[in-house]
Amino acid sequence: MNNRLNSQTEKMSKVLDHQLKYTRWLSVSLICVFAWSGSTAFALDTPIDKFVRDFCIKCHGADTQEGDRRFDALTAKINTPDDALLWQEILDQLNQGAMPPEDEKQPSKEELLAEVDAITQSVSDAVQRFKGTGAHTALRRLNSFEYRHTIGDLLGLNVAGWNPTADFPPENRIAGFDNNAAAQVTSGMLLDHYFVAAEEAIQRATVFGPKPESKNYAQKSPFYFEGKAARDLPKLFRTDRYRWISDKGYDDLQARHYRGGHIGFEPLARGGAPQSGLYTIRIQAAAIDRTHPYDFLKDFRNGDPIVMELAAVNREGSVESTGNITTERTLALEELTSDQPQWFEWTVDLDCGEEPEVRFRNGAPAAKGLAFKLGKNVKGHPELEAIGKLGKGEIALAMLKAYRGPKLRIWEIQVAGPHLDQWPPPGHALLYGSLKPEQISRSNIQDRLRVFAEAAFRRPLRQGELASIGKLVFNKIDAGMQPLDALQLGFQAILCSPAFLHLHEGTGTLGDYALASRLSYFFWSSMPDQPLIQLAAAGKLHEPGTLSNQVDRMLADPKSQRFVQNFIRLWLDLDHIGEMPVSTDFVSFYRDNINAAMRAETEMFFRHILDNNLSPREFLAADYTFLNRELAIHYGLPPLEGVQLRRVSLPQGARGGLLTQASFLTASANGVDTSPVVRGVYVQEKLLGYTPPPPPPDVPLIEPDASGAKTIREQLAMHRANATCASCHRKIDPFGFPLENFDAIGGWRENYSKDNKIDPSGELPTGEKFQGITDFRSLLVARHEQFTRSLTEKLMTYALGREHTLADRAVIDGIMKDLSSNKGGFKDLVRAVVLSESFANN
Amino acid sequence: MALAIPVFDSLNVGFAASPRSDQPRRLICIGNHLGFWPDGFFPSADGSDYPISKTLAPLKDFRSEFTIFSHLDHDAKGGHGAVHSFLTGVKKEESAGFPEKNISLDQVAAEHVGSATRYPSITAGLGEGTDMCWNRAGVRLPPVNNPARLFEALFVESNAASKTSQRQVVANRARMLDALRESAKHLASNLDAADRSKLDQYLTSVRDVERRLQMSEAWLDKPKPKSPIEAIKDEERMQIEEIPLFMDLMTLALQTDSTRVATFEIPLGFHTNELDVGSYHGLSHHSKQEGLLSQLQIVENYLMTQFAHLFGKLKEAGLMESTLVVIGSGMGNASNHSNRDLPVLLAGGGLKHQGHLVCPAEDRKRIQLSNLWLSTLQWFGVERERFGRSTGTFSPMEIV
Repeated sequence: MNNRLNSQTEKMSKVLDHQLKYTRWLSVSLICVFAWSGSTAFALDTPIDKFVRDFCIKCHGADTQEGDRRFDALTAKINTPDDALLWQEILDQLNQGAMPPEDEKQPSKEELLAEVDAITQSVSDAVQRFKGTGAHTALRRLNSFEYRHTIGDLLGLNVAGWNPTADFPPENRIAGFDNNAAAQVTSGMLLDHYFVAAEEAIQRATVFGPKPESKNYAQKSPFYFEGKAARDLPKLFRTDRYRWISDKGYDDLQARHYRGGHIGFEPLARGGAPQSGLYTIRIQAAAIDRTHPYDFLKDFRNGDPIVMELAAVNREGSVESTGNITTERTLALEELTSDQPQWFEWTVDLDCGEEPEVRFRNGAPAAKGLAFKLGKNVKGHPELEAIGKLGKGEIALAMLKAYRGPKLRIWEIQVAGPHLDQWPPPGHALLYGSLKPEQISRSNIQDRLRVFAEAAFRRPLRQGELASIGKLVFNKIDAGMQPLDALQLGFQAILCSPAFLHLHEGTGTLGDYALASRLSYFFWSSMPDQPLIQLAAAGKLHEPGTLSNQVDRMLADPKSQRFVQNFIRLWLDLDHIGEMPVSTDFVSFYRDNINAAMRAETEMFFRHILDNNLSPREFLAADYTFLNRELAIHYGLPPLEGVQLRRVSLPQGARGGLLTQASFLTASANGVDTSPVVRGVYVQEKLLGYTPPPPPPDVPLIEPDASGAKTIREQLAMHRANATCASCHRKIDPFGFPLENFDAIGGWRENYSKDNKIDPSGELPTGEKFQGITDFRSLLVARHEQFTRSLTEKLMTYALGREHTLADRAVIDGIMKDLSSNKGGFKDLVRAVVLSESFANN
Repeated sequence: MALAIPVFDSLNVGFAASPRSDQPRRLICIGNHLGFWPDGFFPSADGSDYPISKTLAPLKDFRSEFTIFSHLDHDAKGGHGAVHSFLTGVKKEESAGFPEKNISLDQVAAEHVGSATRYPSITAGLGEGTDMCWNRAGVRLPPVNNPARLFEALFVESNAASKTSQRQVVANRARMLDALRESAKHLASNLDAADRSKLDQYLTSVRDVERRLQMSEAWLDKPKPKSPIEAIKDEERMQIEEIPLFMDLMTLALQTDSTRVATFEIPLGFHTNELDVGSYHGLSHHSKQEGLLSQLQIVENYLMTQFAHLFGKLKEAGLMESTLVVIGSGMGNASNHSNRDLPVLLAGGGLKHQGHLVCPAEDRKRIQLSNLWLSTLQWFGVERERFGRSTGTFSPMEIV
């Protein structure tokens, strides 16, 4: 019985999904094949079937199955979820005016309306009938993102610095989302990684001993060393053909691995910060020769501010080929314009083992390349010409010393910390309470295991649940292991146990503890905090008023930035950015840190709409965005100053809404060129919740051919001359053409090449014409309800860890109705998802 | 036991009789994400007297020892997103529909070798690699991308203290696995069927780790072979310096019987600037422009030179007859992102090679690349009737 229900549920979950990925598409068509086999006769001649017979069967019948759809065996009464899927698709196509194709026989307006009404009624009846079968998220494993943050929050570890999941195998995705229980794979390889991560997590959280004193470290120029002083330092610190010891009281950054140059901090260069915690970092620096005489230096835009980056790097186990770095992350960016020394100060979280490194973010190429370039271009530059002939070993150094181009100049770096307000830190306290190593014994081990397991499992323990882990620990002690070591082994086992790794949501109405986890993994990608657990313990969490308050509290917590970042990343496939190496022709992508800025733009935009509870329509229609100096240049907008993004009103014209943000345009390209087909699919998938069917087998691919000087549009036109191709492409390409004015990283362009002007005009399958991006945006804005529905579906998918089903469809209908009658905003929408029946049940 | 395909009887590659029976069989698989420009790669005529193509020219000294196949593929779509099916026949998105998920050729061979060698397989590559190797659970095996690390794994003996601690870890982990199995059973009592099938995956993982722990434990006390070459140090290298080192190390790994299966992956982001040409991905989008094509040819020529280097080393080590080398890509034509008509080259293995073997291009007569992989596995000694999308073997081979 159970099995039957499950397969029913699985089928149901295939229903009504507007984000069908190609693979899903295949499985759906397989099911359809089964549904039809054995039945070729037409069904009862009800009005619905007559309509289908008159207008659909010609292309979707026994003889031909355009788009892999076949409707000749559909009955008017919906008997299975499979049928419901097909009917819903027909309904969607009719509602969008996408079918029948314009060159086929058309129904009258009355016929169409009657048909739409009839199908709507019939599908909605089916929804009620099938509702009882419910939708169920199977035992969901924490994905890498959730695991990382759960370990961080549980043990108070800095997982920005130390990423326990760095080597985990990538998660599978369904429709872009990687927290879908149905797609998750747990493998021996992953379990191996869990062992290693658990061991290191427990070791990092364990800090017996007195509170470390805060220390002051300082380094003044020189920042480069030789001989004995340099012996145990990475190459970056050592003098060589490109770096020298300064006697001027300052150093200019010289580069090895980092464009523009970098210098390390010698006092912490042998193992990094001894203790995780907050550190104050101060740097005395100046921007020198921002305006330079070297036209050949394309890497630095003449006159730009110098962007100083403060990075945290970890060198443990590193090799020279990666610049002696195993991990690196940006802590802060600052634009420098003054050539007078100034102090800059930050308070940052350094992880144990990390050390600061200062970098010239937008600088010219690394020293070796720079010296080479200078050597090739001495002419007309007296300071270089004066060097004259020198030996191979000396010429580069002389060039770099004489160089009059942009430099980041450093006098002094100071580091103070760690500033610790709690000792021992919360992670240690959770593990050991106030026990000292020698106090750990058989009498208190069970207690320690229980306290940690309750926190790790996010709920009270079940009877006997820890027996096997307790046995492991005691057996080890019996075998002569130190009680502390044995206890740590027990902690590791807890972190590898299925109750920690999975969200167990059961069936039916969620218990309050499961609800607490569902909430916290939705907004924080991590475990519930104390207030949530307390509400669950009191049995109050499920009350609508309580839930609603928790939504506000949780979204106000900085941890909710994980929801913003991660949801956008999965929704818009932002991992595509940079996955295909971006062409080096796009100098600004690398020089100006556009990659990070474009993500931040979309995140701030999303956050703004969420926090201010603006209408979801804003995602399409907003006439403002969030930019910094470099993005403003990238967009060709009036100049801004600074690396910080801020709200900017957009002039009337091309840019506006998500559609023209660089992240959206880059994620839908491949780093080199663009395709209206790929972007046409992307726009519909991401903004309208519709995935066009994949190309049929054996359709010839379009081979880009610049030798014939045809534009992609002309080639597509040829492709569409074939009727089979046309039936799909007329529904795809128009959604991509208006974006052709944006290159593969979202910059504006009018031409492909000198003779190839871009034509961004087109006509939607529903007949509306547009001249370019501005008109096209208006047409999308007019479809904002469809957008909001698709956004709701995606929020639901993300929150529940499964695809939405027919039953959810009814829930979403309700949410949409309320939202529109209350003129609700995006935050209301998110709240409605949490308060929905789908969220409360499993 | 092998299924012959009638139309092809005349074109047998002739996986010939086994080489000396004391020689174990070995497999090397090399995949290049962007494939090779088809017009430059495929020879203009078939048979063994084909005029060598521009791209293959660096391999001309070995022409009697390899076969080029035309018109083989997995019928896959997805451009870059389908390249990872080169050795699997199955895309990861489709893997749920196949009993062995999207396991790759090399990993089936590795399973067959089991613990007979220290490493069931060695997966190497540049940078991030190209998602070529997949295990039975549908999980990708990332490549070792530092030649120094590979050297260490093959030849550098851990010290006594580290061996003791490794043994300790193995022992502890085995006990932990017991405890976790119990925990899972405890949890299972509260689960319904769908949840339980997820938990089964967990239990399967526990067993898998256990099995591999036992295998590695057995090798812990056996000494590693002495390196016939000077130690490869951990230092800054260009990728074009790394490739020949990897080719040498793969040969040594086979020669010392540290493994019998080795793979090498060349990623989309191969540092072609080291060859003084444009970015690899950019060049692959050549749109038939002469300037870009000529740069692409430089890259492809360079790679072929490296493969020639590998063939030379294998011969030197007396391994060419016992080692089958697969070279190719899941990308047929990077310029239009086609995954059809893949470049496929098979070398060595003591086979009677056929030069350029043009397989049928017509829709219904096409031969699945999976069939060739199945035959490769049978040659390797794996007894099986199916692999990936295979419909049979290709071509008949005699298994001794």
